[in-house]
Amino acid sequence: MADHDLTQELCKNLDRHLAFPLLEFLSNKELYSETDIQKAKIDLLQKTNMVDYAAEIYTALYKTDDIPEEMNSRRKEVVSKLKTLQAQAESIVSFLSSEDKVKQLKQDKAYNLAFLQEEFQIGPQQIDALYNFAKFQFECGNYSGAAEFLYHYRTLATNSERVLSALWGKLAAEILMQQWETALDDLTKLKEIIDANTFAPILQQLQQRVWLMHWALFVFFEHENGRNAIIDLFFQDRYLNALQTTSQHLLRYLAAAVVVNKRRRNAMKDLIRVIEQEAYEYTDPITQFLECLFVRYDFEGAQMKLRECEEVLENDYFLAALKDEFVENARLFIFETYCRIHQCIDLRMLAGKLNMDAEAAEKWIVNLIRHARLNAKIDSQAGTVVMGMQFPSAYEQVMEKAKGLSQRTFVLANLVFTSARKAQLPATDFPVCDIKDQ
Amino acid sequence: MTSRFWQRSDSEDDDEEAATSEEESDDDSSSSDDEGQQAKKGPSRFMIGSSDSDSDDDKRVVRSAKDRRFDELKATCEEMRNKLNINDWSSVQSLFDKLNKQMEKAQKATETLGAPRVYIKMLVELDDRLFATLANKELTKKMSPTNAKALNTMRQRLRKHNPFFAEQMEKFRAAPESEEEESEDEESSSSSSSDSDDEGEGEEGEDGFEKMKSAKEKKKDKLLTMDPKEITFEMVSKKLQEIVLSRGKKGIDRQDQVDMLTYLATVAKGPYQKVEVLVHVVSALFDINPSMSTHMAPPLWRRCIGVLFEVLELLEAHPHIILDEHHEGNDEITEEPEAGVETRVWGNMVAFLERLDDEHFKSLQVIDPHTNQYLDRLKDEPLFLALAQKVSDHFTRIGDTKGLARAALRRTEHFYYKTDAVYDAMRKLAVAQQEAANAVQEEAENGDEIPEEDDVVVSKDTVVVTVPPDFTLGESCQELMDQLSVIIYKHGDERTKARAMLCSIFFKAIRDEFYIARDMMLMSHLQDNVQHMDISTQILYNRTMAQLGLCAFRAGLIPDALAALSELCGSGRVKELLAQGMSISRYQDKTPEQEKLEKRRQMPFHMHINLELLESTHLICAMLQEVPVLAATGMQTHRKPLSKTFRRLLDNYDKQTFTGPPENVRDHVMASTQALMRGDWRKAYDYLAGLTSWNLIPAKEDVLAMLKAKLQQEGLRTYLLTYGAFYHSLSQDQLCDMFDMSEKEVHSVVSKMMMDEMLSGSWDQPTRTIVMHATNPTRLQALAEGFAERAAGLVDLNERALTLRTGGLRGEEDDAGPRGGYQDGQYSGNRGGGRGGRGRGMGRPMIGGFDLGGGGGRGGRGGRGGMGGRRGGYNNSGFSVFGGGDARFQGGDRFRQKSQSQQYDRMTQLGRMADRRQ
Repeated sequence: MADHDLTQELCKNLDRHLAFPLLEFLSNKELYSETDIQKAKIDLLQKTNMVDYAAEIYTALYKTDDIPEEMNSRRKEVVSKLKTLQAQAESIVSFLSSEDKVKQLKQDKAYNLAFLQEEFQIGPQQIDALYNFAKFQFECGNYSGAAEFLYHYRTLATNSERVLSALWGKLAAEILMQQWETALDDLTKLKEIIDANTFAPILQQLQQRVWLMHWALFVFFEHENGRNAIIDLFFQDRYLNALQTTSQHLLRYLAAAVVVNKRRRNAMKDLIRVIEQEAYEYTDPITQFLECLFVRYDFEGAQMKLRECEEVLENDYFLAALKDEFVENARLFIFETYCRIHQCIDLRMLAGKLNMDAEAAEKWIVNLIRHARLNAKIDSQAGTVVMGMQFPSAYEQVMEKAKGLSQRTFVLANLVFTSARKAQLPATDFPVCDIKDQ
Repeated sequence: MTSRFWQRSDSEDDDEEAATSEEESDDDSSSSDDEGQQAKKGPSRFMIGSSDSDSDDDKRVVRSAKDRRFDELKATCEEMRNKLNINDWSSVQSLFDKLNKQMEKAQKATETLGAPRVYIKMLVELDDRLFATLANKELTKKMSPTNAKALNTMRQRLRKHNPFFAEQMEKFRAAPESEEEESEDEESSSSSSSDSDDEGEGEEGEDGFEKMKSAKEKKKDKLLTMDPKEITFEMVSKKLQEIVLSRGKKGIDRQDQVDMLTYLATVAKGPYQKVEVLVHVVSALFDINPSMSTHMAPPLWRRCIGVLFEVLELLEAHPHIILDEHHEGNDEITEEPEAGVETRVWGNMVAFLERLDDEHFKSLQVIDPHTNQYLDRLKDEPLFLALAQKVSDHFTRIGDTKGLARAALRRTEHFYYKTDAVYDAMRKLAVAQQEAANAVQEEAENGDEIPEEDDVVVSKDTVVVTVPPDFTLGESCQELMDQLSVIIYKHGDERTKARAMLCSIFFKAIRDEFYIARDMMLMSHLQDNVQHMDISTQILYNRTMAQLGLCAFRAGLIPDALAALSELCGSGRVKELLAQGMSISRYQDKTPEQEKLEKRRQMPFHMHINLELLESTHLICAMLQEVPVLAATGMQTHRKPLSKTFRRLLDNYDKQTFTGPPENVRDHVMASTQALMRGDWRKAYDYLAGLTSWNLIPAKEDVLAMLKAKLQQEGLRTYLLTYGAFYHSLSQDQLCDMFDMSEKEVHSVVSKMMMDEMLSGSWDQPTRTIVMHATNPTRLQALAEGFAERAAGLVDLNERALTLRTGGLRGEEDDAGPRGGYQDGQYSGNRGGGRGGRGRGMGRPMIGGFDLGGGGGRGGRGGRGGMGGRRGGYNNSGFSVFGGGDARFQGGDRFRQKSQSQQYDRMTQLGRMADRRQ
C-alpha cells in the first residue's frame, strides 16, 4: 500500500524538522517497517543538533546502551557551540527579554539601530549573533525560542537575504509549534517577498515557490480557512507553473482540496485541465478518480478509484483528516454528474454506485431534493429517480441572448456622451448613438 | 643594329663565345638585365626569321635551302646552349619554342621524319642541364621568379616532349662522338654524364617517394632528389613557406603542391615541423576543389581524414604543440623546438572538421541516392565520426570547450536522425571496417614487406584510410546523444545550443517519446526565437516539427499532431520548408542565385522525411478533427476552420461532378471523409488503410488500430450530431453494434457530448436508451435568435470601436468585470487580457499575421500580450534554463505553453523563410 505514498517526494522539499511529523505519522500507519523509519529518523537527526533525541532513538533501535562515538563527540561539539553562540548573543537576548526595553523600539528601523547602538552597544554584530543563535536554537528543537528570536531579528536586521531566511525559519518554527494563525501570516509575507523578487535567477524562484507550496501544506490543511487558501495559492499562474514543472505530486493535495471545498466548484474545470495535462507525469487514485469522472465519464471506474482513494487518503499525513469529507463530496460529485446526463435512473443501481443500500440511498436523495440541491422526483413504484430536466425554450434562449444588451448600450452611450463632452468631440462620429433608440 | 650584330654572331662562333662570357657576368649580377636582354632578343629572333624568308633565299636551290634550315637549327642550338650556361631559363624557353618550329620547317623542307642529330643532341643537353639545375637547390632558390617559373615550364614541356625522341636520345647518349665538333661534344657529354649520375643517386635515394607519384608526374624538385638525411629543418621550412606563399595563385598545379607537401611531411624534421606541414597538406587538399558548389572528391576527402588522424596522433604524442588559428608563421624558429617548450602552429581543428563534414554533406547532396556510389559515401560516415571523436578527445585534453562544443554539435548532427536500427547498422559497419583494416594490417605484417605505421596508405590515386581501431560507438545512441547534448549545453553558444536542442527533440520524437520531446520544445522557447536564426537551423526546426507531429500521431494524440503539422503542411511548400527538393513556385521565378542557395540547403536523401506519410498524417488528423465539427455546425459557419487546407480540399472534392476511385493520398482521405460524414466508419477505415505510406511506420499495426478506434469514436460523434435530431430515442446497444464499440466506450463518448452540450439529450438508464430533447426551432424562433445574436454582435463592435477611440475603456471594464455573465468563449477570445483570452484569442491574430508573410511571428505576439505580462519572471527564461546542463529543464513555464496547443501555430517559420529567401 506504499505505492502512493508521497513522503519521499515531499521530504525533498521540506526542512529536516518538518519531515519529522511525516515520519511519525508513517510509523503509526505501519506502512513501512518500524526499523526503517527509525533509521530514517536518525539520518534526519544526524545533521540537526537534536543529539539527545537521536541517541534515544538509536538505543531504542539497536537495543543497546552504547552510543556511537560520533554521536557523543557531536554532542560535545553542539554543547560547546551553543555556549559560544549564547555568549555572543548574550547582550541582545538580555535586551529582548525585558519587555520595557523592547517597548522603546519604534517602527523605524534606522532609528532602532541607532538607538540600540547608543543605549546598549548592540551593533550589527550582535544582531547577526542573534540570527545564528536563533538558527541554532531551531536546530536544537527549541522552536518557540527560535521563532521569537527570529521575529525580533526581522525587525532589526537589514540584510534582506538573511531576513528571508529568518522568515523561512520562523515559518518552520511556527508550523512545528502548530501556531497556524501566525504561520499563515508568515506564509503570506514569505509569498509576497518571493513574488516581489522577480530578479532572482529563475531556478531559484522556482525552487522557492516549490518549497513554499510544500510547507504551506502543513498550514492549509490545519488552518480553518486553509482550504480556500490552498486553491488560491496553487492556482496562481506562477505556482501552477512551478507545480507542473517540478512537483506534480502536489496535484493530489490540490485535487483533494478542490473536491472537499463546496464553494469552489468552478475551480474544478481548471483542475481537470491540469490533471489531464499532467497525466503522463503523475497519476494517483485521486487524480484518476477525477479523470474518470470528468474526462471519460466512466462512472464505474470512478467508483473503483474512489475506493482506492480512501486508502490513499488514510495513509497521507495531510489528508487523513479529510478522508470522510472527501468521500462524501466525491460521492456527491458522482451523483450530480450522473444526474446531469440522465433523465431516469434506477434507484437500486444508483445505490450500488453510491456504495449504499437502497434505503439509505433513497433517504440520501430525498435529502438532496429537500435541500433544493437536486431537481428530481422519486418514482417509488418503478423504483426510479426521474430528473426534472428543464430545457431552455427558444423564447428563453433569445431572452438570454438579448439580456443586458440595452443596459450595455446605455452605458456605452453615456460614455460616449461624457467623453464627447469632455473632449469636445462631435458625438455624431460614433455610430453608437443610433443604438440608443433600440 | 642588333639584328646585324646577332646575325654576325651566328656566323662567327668565336665572337659569340666571347659575348656570352660577358653576358654571363651580366646575368649573374642582376636579373633585370636578364629581362632586358630578353627584350632585345625578341626582335632579333624575329629578324632572323624574316631574313630567312627573304625572296632572295627562295630562289636558291633546294639543296641549299636544306642547308640553310640546318644552319638555322644549329644557330638556335648554339644560342640555347649559351643561355643554358647562364641559366637564363626564360630565354631557353622561348628558344626552345623557336627550335621546335624550325625543326618542323626543316622536316618539311627535307621531307624526312627523323630529327637531325643537332636537335637530338640539343635535347639531351637540355634534359641533363634541367635536372642538374633542379637538383642544385641553392641555385634554384636564387633564381628570379620569372626564371624559376620558366624552369618549371621547361621541365613540364620536356617531360611531354622527350618521349617522342627517347630512342634517338638513348642512341645519342650511347655514342655521342659520331660527328664533328668532338671537343665540344666531349665536354657536354662528360658534363651530362656526371649530371645523370647525380640524378641517378637522387632517384635511388627517393625510392620511397617515387612510389607515391605516378611515373608521369615525376617531380624533379631539388629537394626530391636529395638524400632525406641531408635535408635540414631549414630547407623544409623554406620550401613550405614557398608553397604557402604560392597558395591561391594562378597557374599553380594544386595537385603538385599537395604531392610536394606530402613529401615534405615525410622528410620533416621532428613532430613540430611535421604537424606544421601536415596542416598545410590539409588546407592544400581543401584547395584542390576550387568552387563552393562542387564537392570534394571522396578519395581526397578520405586522404584528408587520414592526414588529420596523423596530426591528431602527433598532437597527442607531443602535447607541447598547440594548434592556434590566429598564429602567424614561425619565422624565427629555425630549429625543431625541444619537447616541453610550448609551440604554436597555425591551424584550426574544428574548422577542418566542419569543412570535412560539409564536404561529406555536399557530396551526398549531389550523388544520385539510388546508386552504389551513394552507399559507399554513406559508409564513410564512421570514418568521419571516428575523426570527430578524436578531435573531441583532443579538445577535452587541451580544455578547449568552445571547439569541443562545436565538434560535439557536428557529431550530434550525425546521430540525431538515426533510429536505433540505423544506428546499430552503422555501428556494425564501423566494427566491420575495423576488422577489415586489422586483417589487412596483419597480412602486411605477415608479409612484413611494408613497414606501415600510419593508417594511411598512399598509393597512386586510391587512398585507403581505415577507421582507427580505438574508435568505438557506444551501445546506445541515447547515451551518446545525452553526453553530447550536455557538453553543448555547457559550452556552446546560442546557435549551437539551439541546434543541439532541436536535434535532441528530433531524436526523442523518432523514438516515440512525445511528451519529453514536446516539453523540451516548449520549455526551450525555441518557437519564439527560431525566426531569428539562420535558415539551416530553421530547416532543422521544421524537420523537428514534422517529426513531432508524426510522433504525436503515432501516439494517438490527434490534436497535437495537427497543431504541429498544420502550418507546415498547409503552406503548400513542404518541400522547400524541409529542404527536400526544389519547390516550384508558380508565381515568381527565382533568380539563379536563389536557386543555387536553395540547392545548397537540400537535405541528403537518407535524411528525408517521407512527404507522403507527412501529408497523409496531416490530412487524417485534420479529418478526425474537422468532421465532427462540420457535422455539428454545418459547412457554412463563420468559425475559423481548424485546418484551412482540409476545408479547401473538401470543397474541391465536393464540387466534382464525378469522383473516381481514389488514387493519391488526398483522394483517399477525401473519400474517407465522405464516408465518415455518413457515419460509415468501416469504409472510411478501408480507404485509409489502403494508403501505402503506412508501411513506413515500424509499428504499423498499432497505428492502424489506433486509427480504427479514432474513426469509430469520431464516426459515432458525427453520426449522432448529423442524424440525432431525427430520432426520438436511440438504443445504446444498437450504437454499440453500429460502431463496433464496447458499451462503456459508447457511454463515455455520448456522456461527454451531453456534458459539453453538443448533444441535447440524456440517458434513460433503465431502458438503456438515449432520449433526445432536440426541439427544432420554428422559423420565427430561429430568426429571433439570429437577430438577438446580431444585436449582441453590434453592441460588441460598438464597444470595441469606442475602445479604439478612447483607449483603455475595455481594459477598465475587464478589470472591473461588470458583465460577469457575458463571457462566452467566442467573445472572450478577443480580449487577450482576460483569463478566457487564452482560448481562441491566440490563434486568430496569429493567422492574420501569417497572411502578411513575414509578420507571422509578430501577429502572434500581439495576441499574447496579456499573457506575457502575467508570466512575469518566467517570461525571459529562454535559454538560461539550459545553463545547468541538466537533462531536465526546470523552470520554464511549461504549463502556460502546454495548455495552449495553439502555441504550435507559431512554430513553423514559414513567413520568415520566405523573407530570408530574398
